[in-house]
Amino acid sequence: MDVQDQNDFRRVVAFFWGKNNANNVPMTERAVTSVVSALETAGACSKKMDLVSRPHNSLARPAFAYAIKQITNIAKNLNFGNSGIYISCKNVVAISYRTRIAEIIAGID
Amino acid sequence: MSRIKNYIIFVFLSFLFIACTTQADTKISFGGYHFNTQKTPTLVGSTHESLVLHFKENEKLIFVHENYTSYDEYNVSATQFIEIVFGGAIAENNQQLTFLKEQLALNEIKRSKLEIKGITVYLIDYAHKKYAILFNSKQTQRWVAVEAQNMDLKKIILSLMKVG
Repeated sequence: MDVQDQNDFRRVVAFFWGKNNANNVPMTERAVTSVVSALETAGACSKKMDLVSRPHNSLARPAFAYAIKQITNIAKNLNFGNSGIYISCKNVVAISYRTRIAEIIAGID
Repeated sequence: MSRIKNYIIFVFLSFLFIACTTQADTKISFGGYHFNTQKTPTLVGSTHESLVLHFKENEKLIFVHENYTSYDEYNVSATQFIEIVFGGAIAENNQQLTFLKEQLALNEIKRSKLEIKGITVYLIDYAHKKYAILFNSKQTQRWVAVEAQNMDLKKIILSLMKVG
């Protein structure tokens, strides 16, 4: 994971779960694939915004290279869309996967 | 004599078995609350705002602090936010909040509300997890969310004791 990937990853985590969590999340392959896996299952809002990646296989943790690509795409889209529904979609992910991010930060997901 | 000896051995082994299989309660303290579970965690992780407990047989218990400032975008009070999103109250003329409520209710199996020692608890069952919100009306800006996987969350919530 290069510096750009790390910055993108931090931006994505900060967007959904706050800067504090972004600073604490480990920069590991496991953390990245876990976050992407969580975002994939948040498919409820995927038709309304490009922030959550499309599911590739809900049963398996995504490969690291695929996960990084997804994080890069999501990070690119973070500047767009400030409508109410967009904010609510962000909050759907934030609330639904708040416990998951706690596991990832604790390093025991 | 042999029968008495066998009986004594049987009783001794029975006590030994019970001693080995009976687990002491684990008292969990988080966010100003105490909970009990009759299981012993095999792995514990924590941050300044969360506590993760793993047990045998893929059982998990996760506690997190939630702060209303993270969701304060709907022109409603924290109490109204909780009542609408987790309590199922209607959000008249608030399309965004209604959308959030509906999206969070997707795949929900059952929802119930409990009042325990002055704390309002919303319990939501999903297929693969159980979720609870602990809301104290005297401390509206923050609440505790608890997620359980493969565990009886209601039983744990019913053991709740407010600290102090």
